[in-house]
Amino acid sequence: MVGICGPNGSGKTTLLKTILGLIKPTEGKVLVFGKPITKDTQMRIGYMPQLKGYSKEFPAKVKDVVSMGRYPIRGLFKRLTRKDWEIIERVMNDTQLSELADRPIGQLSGGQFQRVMLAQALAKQPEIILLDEPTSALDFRMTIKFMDLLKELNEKYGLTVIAVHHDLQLLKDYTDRIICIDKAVEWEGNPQDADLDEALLRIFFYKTTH
Amino acid sequence: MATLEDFIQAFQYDWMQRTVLAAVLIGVICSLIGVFIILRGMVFIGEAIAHSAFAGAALALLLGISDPLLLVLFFGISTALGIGYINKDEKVEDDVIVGIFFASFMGLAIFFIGLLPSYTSNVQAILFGRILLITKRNVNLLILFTLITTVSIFLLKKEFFMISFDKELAIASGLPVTAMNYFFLVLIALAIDVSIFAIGAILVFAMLVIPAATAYQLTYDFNKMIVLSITFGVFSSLGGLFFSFIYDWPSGSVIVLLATFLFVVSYILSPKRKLVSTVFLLFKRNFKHVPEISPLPHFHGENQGIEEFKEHLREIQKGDEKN
Ligand SMILES: Nc1ncnc2c1ncn2[C@@H]1O[C@H](COP(=O)(O)OP(=O)(O)OP(=O)(O)O)[C@@H](O)[C@H]1O
Ligand SMILES: [Mg+2]
Repeated sequence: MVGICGPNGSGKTTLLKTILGLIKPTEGKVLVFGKPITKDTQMRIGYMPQLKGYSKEFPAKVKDVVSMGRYPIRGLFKRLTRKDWEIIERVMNDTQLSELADRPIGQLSGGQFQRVMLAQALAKQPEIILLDEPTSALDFRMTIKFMDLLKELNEKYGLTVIAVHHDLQLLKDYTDRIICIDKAVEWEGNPQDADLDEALLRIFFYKTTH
Repeated sequence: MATLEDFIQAFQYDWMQRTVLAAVLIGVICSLIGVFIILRGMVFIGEAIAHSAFAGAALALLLGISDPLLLVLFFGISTALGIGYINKDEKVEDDVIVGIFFASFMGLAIFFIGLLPSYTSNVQAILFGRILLITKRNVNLLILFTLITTVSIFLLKKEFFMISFDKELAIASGLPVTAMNYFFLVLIALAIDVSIFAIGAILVFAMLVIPAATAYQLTYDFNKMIVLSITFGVFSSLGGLFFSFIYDWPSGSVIVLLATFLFVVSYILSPKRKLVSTVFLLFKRNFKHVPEISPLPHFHGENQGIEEFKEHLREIQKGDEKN
């Protein structure tokens, strides 16, 4: 489990989007599974975008959005199979969404919506999952459930989790590796490293001019 | 003025059956495409394509081409592809460029019409639509395009749905969004180009937008939205045909006015706006029971620390798991 942190505007979202192939790097290149990114590799990566405004009236229910995670796997022209729906239901269960399955997404709270987007990313059964501030709208309890779930998937299935967090406690408790960026990698190491706090202070308080 | 009897009598004639079929198909093709236009907020793009088709029709009149359909198709499809090309970097906020397309085609169309020696009834037909004069070739193409559109939207429904919901997520998932975008723009062009002579160049894009917008008011279910949109579309275009026959009104405007009427009704009834229930509530007082908030047991002092709180939550969670 990798945690990414950095001040607002430091390029965290940009980094994730570059890994996904949504943005072309101006220099250098991105290798995923040892190769440049293609449609095939995109299918093996789950992505949960940073919380943004969706239309409140969009005609989709929770289960519709979660099922989108299966679309690329199933492929063009094909309908989702029973097996897909089993996976979707299991994921909704894991993210405590089963009761909300038929709720229009416009009627969800921010935190509930965030869980929908996580479920969508998990429904893909990816090998890597990229999460952009996944717990920014979750309550304490849900945050812990959420992180525990990721940890479990990480330990059981070897799911690689790369997540942007603003919560230092989460980074320390739940990641194996922390990367702090501010336009460039400023610090990289383990959560136990003695110089972590000092590095954070430097990056967030003494350096920033934002 | 014709009577209702004339209208029913007319059904025995080939041309009338053809016209009714055309009305139904126009309702289907426009309002089906319209669902995705509404969900993706591409209303303006639809209008730009419609105006390019108008310019094509005007040019055909100027050149004295008897059936302007081919030229209309050429203009419509090239505009669709052009807009797709400009939009290919996935910047959706290209309103300005689309707006310039839109205005310049309108200018071009008016220019061509201005060069015509006389203002013929053909111009009227292009502007306002004459569903009763729709040609056989137009109806055949309409059948073909409706089939293509319905089948491909049915087959690619989930992908179009996902792109409408979140384009970036769709790209990141590995869906061929760029190709599908071009394809969708061409479908818009086909729908407009075969409907233009029945509804008129000025109003054809309204038929793409209004039935779908009406359906959008009424449901949170995507499939229901499609069904409702098509229902409203077919109802409006058949209604337009009827009034056009009886009163000799321009079919396009009647179709659009009927569709607008449905929109207003559904806007008022919409569960998304709660206009009706709000009015009811004015007559009904409701008292809500406000529960007392009990304080958290474990927290005293100021900086007891988040760790302790988390410990507490973990305890609760363990309890949960046992249940
Ligand atoms: N390496 C870079 N060099 C120059 N500009 C960059 C770089 N990375 C990102 N930017 C620019 O910085 C801006 C903000 O980046 P981004 O959205 O990734 O920030 P963020 O770290 O996700 O911030 P937040 O915490 O607010 O979500 C973008 O406009 C992006 O183009
Ligand atoms: Mg960000």
